[in-house]
Amino acid sequence: MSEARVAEAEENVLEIDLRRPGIAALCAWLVPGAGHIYQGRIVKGLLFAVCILGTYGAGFVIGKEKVVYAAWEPAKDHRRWQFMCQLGVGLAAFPAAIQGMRYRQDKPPLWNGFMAPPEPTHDLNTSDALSDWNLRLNSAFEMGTLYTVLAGLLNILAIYDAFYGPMVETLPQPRE
Amino acid sequence: MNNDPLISPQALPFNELWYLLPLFIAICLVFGATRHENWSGILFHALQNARWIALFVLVVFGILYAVSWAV
Repeated sequence: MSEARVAEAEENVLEIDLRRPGIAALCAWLVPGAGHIYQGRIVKGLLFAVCILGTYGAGFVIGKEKVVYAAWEPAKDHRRWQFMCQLGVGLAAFPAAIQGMRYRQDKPPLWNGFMAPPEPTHDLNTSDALSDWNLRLNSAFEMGTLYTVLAGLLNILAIYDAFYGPMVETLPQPRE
Repeated sequence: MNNDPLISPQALPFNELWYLLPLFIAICLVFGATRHENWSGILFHALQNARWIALFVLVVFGILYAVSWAV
């Protein structure tokens, strides 16, 4: 490792007050950036909030509010694995989780179907909502899904940072 | 079927590659921010990441282009 890299690594070995890391991680999950703001790391918190919530919001808008929903019913050949990643953004994905639970219990969706899973059908005479979304949104459905999934995954990095602090390069150990 | 006139079959108004640019920036910044506390460190790391990701994408593009040309 060069001297510059060692100096950079030493510079990064900072004493950071993580306050209560568990609470900070929970806050970071619920609202991206909130855990860092709770710890007093305001600038990083705002950076995470803008990047992660911005990515999530952009994906949501690109996908015309259809791309975040929870559905896992193998019997109906209906598995939305992407939601596990989208759930990484916390509260912003909670409505979809609530709608997904209601869907599993065969209850009608709330909020005019906002974030509700599409109704699948195997009857050729009726319209399949998911196929309808894919047809109308075209590649915007995939792009919106990609944005929201990546936002959730990026927030996992932010949660790690809130809990453990920054991932600092380890300094080389002197040889004996 | 819902025939919403506001949503056209070509729903993305720009080329798909342009949509990857904001993702590229967000990934580099978040990745840099998980390794540094100060702005200069974050931006330095983000630029390093951007360089490596761009290089990787260019290499993959070059390989795919060569394969498509050869076949």
